[in-house]
Amino acid sequence: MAKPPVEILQGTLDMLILKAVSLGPLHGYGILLRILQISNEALQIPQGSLYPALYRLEHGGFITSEWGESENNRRSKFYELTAAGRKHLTEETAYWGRLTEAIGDVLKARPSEG
Amino acid sequence: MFKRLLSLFHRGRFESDLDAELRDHLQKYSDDLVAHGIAPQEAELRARREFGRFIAVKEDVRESSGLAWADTAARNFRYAFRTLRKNPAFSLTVIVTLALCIGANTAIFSIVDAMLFRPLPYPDPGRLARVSRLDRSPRGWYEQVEVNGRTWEYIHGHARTIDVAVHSGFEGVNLVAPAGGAQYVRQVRVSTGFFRVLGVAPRIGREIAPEEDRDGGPPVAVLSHGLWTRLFASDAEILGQTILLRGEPYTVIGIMPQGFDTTPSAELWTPLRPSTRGEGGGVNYSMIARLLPGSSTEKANAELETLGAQFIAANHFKIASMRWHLITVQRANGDSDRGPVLLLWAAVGLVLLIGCVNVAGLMLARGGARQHEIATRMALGSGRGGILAQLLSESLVLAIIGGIAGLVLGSVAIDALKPVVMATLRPTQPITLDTRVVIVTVFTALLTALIFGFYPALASSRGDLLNALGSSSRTASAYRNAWARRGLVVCEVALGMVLLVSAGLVLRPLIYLNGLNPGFDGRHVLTASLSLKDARYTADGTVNRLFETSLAGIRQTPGVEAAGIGLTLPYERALNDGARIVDGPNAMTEAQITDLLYVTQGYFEALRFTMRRGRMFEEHDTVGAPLVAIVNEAYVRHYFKNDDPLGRHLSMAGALHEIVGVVADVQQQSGWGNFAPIASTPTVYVPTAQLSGRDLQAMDNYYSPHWVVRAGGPQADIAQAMRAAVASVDRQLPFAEFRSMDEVRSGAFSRQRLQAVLLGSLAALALVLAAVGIYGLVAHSVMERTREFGIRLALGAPRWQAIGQAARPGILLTLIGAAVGFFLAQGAGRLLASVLWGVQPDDRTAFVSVTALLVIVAALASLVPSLRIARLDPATTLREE
Repeated sequence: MAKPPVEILQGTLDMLILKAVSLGPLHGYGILLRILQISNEALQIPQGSLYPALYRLEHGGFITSEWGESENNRRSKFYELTAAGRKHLTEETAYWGRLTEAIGDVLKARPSEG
Repeated sequence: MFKRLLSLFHRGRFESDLDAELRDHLQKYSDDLVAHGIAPQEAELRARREFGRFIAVKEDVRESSGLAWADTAARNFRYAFRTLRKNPAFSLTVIVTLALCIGANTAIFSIVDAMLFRPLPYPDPGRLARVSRLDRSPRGWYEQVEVNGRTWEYIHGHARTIDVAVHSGFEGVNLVAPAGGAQYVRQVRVSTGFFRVLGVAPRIGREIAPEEDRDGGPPVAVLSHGLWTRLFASDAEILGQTILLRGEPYTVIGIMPQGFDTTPSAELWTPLRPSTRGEGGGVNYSMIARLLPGSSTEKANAELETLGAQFIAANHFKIASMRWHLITVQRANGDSDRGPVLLLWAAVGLVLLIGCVNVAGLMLARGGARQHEIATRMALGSGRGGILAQLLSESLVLAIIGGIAGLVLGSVAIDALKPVVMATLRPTQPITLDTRVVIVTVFTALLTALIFGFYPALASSRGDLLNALGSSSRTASAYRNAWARRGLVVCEVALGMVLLVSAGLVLRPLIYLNGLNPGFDGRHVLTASLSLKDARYTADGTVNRLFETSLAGIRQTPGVEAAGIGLTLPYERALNDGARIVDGPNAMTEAQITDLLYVTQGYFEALRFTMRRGRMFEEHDTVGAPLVAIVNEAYVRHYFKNDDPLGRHLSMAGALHEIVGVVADVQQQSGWGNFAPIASTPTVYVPTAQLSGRDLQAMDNYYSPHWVVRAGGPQADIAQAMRAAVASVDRQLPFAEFRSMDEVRSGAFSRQRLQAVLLGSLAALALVLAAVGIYGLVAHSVMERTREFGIRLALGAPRWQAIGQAARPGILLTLIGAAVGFFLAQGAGRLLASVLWGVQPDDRTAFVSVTALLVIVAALASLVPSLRIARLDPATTLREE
């Protein structure tokens, strides 16, 4: 069941891309599809902003790319997580966990019953 | 950073990869859409629409890949090229200005570098030096680079901080190879250890040993690589063989490596055998020193100072103050040329400065005209930094093109100057466009770009946005930098004036020298000398037979009008010797130094000397006949005053000569007591036939006699006849170099000419640049004020008045600049005093003519662009805005 789409937060796109390619090499379009699929179509990434993020991550050494063959025998560029990228993803995931927990705590707080 | 550069390298690949990747994405998406039941065409359109603008995405990608800076720079440069191409007049003016300035700087710096800066081509050249002697004289410290035998012995025997050697000056001598064939070669005599001090060992063989450097030691010779190749076909067997040098056998002991040379330049080196008597009694040696390990210039100088004091004390000299010290070899070699060379360098630096000022003015003017464009771009969101970067890249593009063009011009100029400079200034090293010169040039170009690019860039990007936008391009904002430009023109004219005056001052003595009456007729006279420093030519009989027989042979050649031999030539330096008038009212108590030369019959005739009184030398003036002499008019003026010299007697070397004739003066390179480069000095001529073998030998030891032949017909034929005539007497006497008398004459003041030509060219360049600067200023202001002039004309102002008004600022600025330059030039004149001769540093002719020239050129440069007004149609102008 599809959830209603939500805007992705600034700075989270990199994390999502890293997560997407951590499951196996993907081409750009595949990354979009995977994120869409994992999030039950809640996270729709604007196509134009995917590539700058990919190149930024590659320039930073978190992912590497290689040309390969995709469905229909087309040549596509595949992205893969590097060791640095994996480490970065772990840190970011932990940080994200702490952040959402903290925000959740704040939002869940009720007037004290006392 | 490395990655960045790498990404630049793979730029083309990067772009095509990115393109392929994005297209692949679009294809996949539209395939998916088609799979969801959307029509293919519609799918493609939708995919494109949702993806966003291709170019914008690519741009974002490049930026996130760290390629943005390169992009911006490339865009800036592309834009700069386009802008510059759209303004060809401006761009060409700037590029040509830069090319001329940089070209001139490259060429002159190559000369300066070869003369003064380039390290000597020996190992560790920084530790080489010459030992020189300083004496305090009433006029300041007097430096003597040559030393005598006693100085050499003392320093050689006592110095512990330096390794020393001495050598003679160069001598032209005759060499006969074992295979036969005589050659004129340049010989320098050196002490043992000479090559060790220089740090270069012979390529094969060995250097001169101490026992060979002693009186009576075995005669040996070390050959240059060039001589070995030329004369002995690079045959290593020559080692140990005997060559004839000056008619005496020498054993070849070593061959120096290729490219090795000494100062003075030589083709072979023989033992000097230094002594404290004879040659060593005077200051005829040059000393070269190498700092020993652990020593330094300071330590060596301290030791030399101590040794100098001990030397004076040990010899009980009454010298107030004498000091030995080390000076750099370049300094010792080119001491007399240092001033003129530095002067040239300063002059070319000044030209560069004028060029920069000019370019700055041009950029400023253009900045004013572009105020509107820049304001628009700023209003559209360009940052100030972006605009600055843009303007600077324009400067950089101009500087790079100008720099390259300048480099090409410079190397052409170097090629043109090289032969003259090598022959005239004799730098210790070849003049080449080497990497150092290139570095200096590129640095100059870049510095120029920064200097002239920055100020206009700041000035125009500071422009008030609203002001510039709200008004048209022809408004007050453009005038803001007018004052700066006027200041620049004043600078330019002032600097140009300094250069012009300097050139004028240097030119004046040359004009004087050129205008001197030579006193003889040198046309159609061929001359050549040969060395009689030869063991076989010590007797008067042998020498005279050589002279007479060879002359007789030459005179039989068709076309030859007259032939003779003299020890030296007009326009060259003559031998100085003592002569004493023994009778009459002007009899001397002591001999006076005079120029002295022996001549054969035919010498005066071949050179067409004018006889003033008495007779020439004749057939009967030989041994046994009364000794005779001829003096020149300068001698009569100097020593005989109003007395009749004919019949008076001169005592020379103990013999009495009767004066039988007076010849007109000829110009000679002056020696004793005269500081003019060329002058008519008192001279005594004696007939060769009456000299003793000892006299002849002594004279031939200093100078090589010159054959002078007046003849029509091709020089090569005459030269061949001269060679054949000498060979008929002696096959082993080679002539050195054949020259026409005209060449001898122009060689006499080649230095002055070279200096005047170079400085004159630089001054002409400065004048052109100043004219371009003024022209630019006036042309620009006429353009800016077209509308104003249109209104004036429409209101009935006479055209000539408008033209005058347009031209006036240029002329006024010139006058101000000339006034400033006048004072600066007086300072420059005082600095020049050391290289000037025969002209006062504040020479009125030079100053007045230069100022007149400058004002005329400025007036023309101001008038020509103003004449545009004459063609102005007021109606069109007014409608245009």
